[in-house]
Amino acid sequence: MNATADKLVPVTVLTGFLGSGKTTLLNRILTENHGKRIAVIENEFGEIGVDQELVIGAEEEIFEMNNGCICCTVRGDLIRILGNLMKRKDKFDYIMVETTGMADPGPVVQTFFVDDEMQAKMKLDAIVTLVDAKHVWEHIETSDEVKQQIAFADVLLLNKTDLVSEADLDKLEARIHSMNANAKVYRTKDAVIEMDKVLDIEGFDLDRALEIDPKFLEPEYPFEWSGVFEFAAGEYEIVLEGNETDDAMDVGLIRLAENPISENDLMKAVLLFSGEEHETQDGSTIEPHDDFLNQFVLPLTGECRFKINISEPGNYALFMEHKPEEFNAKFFKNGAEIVADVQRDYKPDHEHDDEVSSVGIDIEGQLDSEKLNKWLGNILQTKGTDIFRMKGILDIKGSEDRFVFQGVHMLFDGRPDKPWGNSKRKNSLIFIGRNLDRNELTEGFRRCLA
Amino acid sequence: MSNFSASDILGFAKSRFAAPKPKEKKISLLWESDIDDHVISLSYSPDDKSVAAAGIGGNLYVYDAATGQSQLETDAHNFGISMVSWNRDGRFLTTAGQDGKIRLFDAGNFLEIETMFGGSTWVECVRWSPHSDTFASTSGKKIRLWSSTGELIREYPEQNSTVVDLAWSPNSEKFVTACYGGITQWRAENKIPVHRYEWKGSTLVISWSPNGRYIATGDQDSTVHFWITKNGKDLQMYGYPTKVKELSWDSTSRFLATGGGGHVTVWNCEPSPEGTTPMQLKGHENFITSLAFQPKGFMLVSGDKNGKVILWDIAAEGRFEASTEMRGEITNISWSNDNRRFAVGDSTGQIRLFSVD
Repeated sequence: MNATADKLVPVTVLTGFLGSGKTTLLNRILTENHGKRIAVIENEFGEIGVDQELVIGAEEEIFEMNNGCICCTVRGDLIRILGNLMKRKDKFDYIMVETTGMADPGPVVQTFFVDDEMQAKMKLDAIVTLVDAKHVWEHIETSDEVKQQIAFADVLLLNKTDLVSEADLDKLEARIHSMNANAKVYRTKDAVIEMDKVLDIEGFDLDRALEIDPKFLEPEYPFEWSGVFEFAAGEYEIVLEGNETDDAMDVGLIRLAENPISENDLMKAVLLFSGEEHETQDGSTIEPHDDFLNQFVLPLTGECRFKINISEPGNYALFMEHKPEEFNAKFFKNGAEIVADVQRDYKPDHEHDDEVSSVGIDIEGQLDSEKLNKWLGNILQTKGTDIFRMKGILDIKGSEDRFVFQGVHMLFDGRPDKPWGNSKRKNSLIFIGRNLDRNELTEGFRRCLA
Repeated sequence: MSNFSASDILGFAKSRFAAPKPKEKKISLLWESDIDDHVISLSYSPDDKSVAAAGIGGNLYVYDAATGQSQLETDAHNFGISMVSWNRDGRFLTTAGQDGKIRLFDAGNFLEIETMFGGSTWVECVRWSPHSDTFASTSGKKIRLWSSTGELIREYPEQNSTVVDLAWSPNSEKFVTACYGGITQWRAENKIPVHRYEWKGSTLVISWSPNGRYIATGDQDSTVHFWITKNGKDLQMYGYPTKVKELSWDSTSRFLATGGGGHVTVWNCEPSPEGTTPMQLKGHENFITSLAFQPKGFMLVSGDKNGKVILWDIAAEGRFEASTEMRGEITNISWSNDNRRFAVGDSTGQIRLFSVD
């Protein structure tokens, strides 16, 4: 199987809004001395012509099939043109497909998976998206196409870095990571980039399915801080100062089954924070509770105090929506200040309600293949439209091999990979898409554990 | 719309046809040629005198059908050829090019009469009318009608997506065009379409039954469609393993042979394919890539991806008659009008002419 796979001609799909620098990058790729014979399928309304013999103009023709399935939406022009190109004797080593600025990358990607002829001769290597670092802000919140182009990407080039400040670039990169935690991001000026960063990436190669940067797999939480206290029975006090911006903050207090905070307790807190919040006025008393979320009402300036009533001694965790420093929060027992035994900061949920985001799941435990099948099948069926990309590596009960998978919308490709051997068995997966519910996905996946 | 599944029922054929007395058929190689390029189009001339072949790279070859002697070899389109087409009596030959050009040759001396432009970067098809000395071309969204002197007679309204195929009516000066979203029936003399058959899907090939009753299409979503010409009703046939690019009607319009998988699937359209189970001919070991019925009669030749060519007798329950092997994937099969010979081209450039005895 690998022998034939080697002969498949790799295809890179180049997306990006008008003016983001696609043509500049294309010209660079074509003129760079990489020893490859590259054919370029350029959109008919290209910004400037690329001066090369092997450039074919195509008009994007999106074909939706009769059954209305989104994964059957393909680029008919590509099937015709590439089908023809691959019959030629003067074979190409590489194919670049440039899309128009407003293109949804879905159909072009799917073309290489649903058409037998395409699949037999070519393999999708990667989606490279150029982002105009200065002007993308005008579209990033409003344009579906910009979001899709970012979400689908394996490689993102933040281009035109000379036009924006370092701080703005950091902000842009953070924003883009929040949408697509899987892509490699490079900052470029005039689309200058080493060829091996954009060609032969193998972004769709199952063997590389798991090269997910672990820091992006760290889940996001609805709170930013937790402190573990060993409380005796009695009364404690929290004193906060108004910070002139926030007029309320969610605070949850739960009794811990063990110290430090276990996965289970953490999940309890997440569920607590996803529940209804209860207004808690200055001077009120709170008690530990698994399903009662306090919303501290805060003054804009000046101090406020909340009492904690503990009836049973034990380890307790206080979860706060914001970090204590923001309110100069202090904890007291009988007038004497105390500090938490263990403190932890959490990666916060994105403040803006991201329509397009990445959800990473990284947990240990063996999966029940039947449950997993059912769960994944259901997700593909109900959420396939919203899921742009997904990939992962799974620990299936009863198998000594890693199971790797990847998918685009409803198209799914998975197989057993090499044995786990001495490496740590765990499940790591990532979803990139629209309206993804992190808790639902995480909980659903957790339920697949054997 | 009705849906039928192409499942395996050789038994059906047995009950339907009284088996004629078996008569051994054999195919013999008469001559061969090698153009060292993927044969993208191959066509026996209607007078049976010549065979025209096109290499995808752009070269046009014409052979003496009897001897295999070269009559013409020319670089017709420097960016590649899509199709060759003879006029109804073999006096003219045209080529459609991926350079946007159409070239018209006098088949008497193989001198060029005219070079025309299809209207877009790539000319997909040129097809001569079976009734007159005019031919239609499709290029991108444009459909044009030309005379045998190369004059543009008519340009039809631009279609909303690329026209992928065009088929003339066997009985009148009408043709149908296929593009994404449906097929359109035209009277050659009129720019206003006769009928539009809407369908949300992508058609790859289109073929009008010789009796004019059905317009059949092979589709990207692994289906075959029958449109009843008269009332526009359609039947959709599901169950193909892959997209269907191979269609061939027998001359009586009774059978439509289709590819779209590893077996040849033959629909019986007399009285209607509706509700029937098709014949499935087994013998290929890879996907069918080309199919052609005899101009008159029920012999069918099929070719596959591995280069295997099989001769079947559809009237005798789809009986396997003979087979042969070519070097590469079979790309084209074309019969002589006298029913006795057929030419085959493959993806490596091998062209062979066989006789059936």
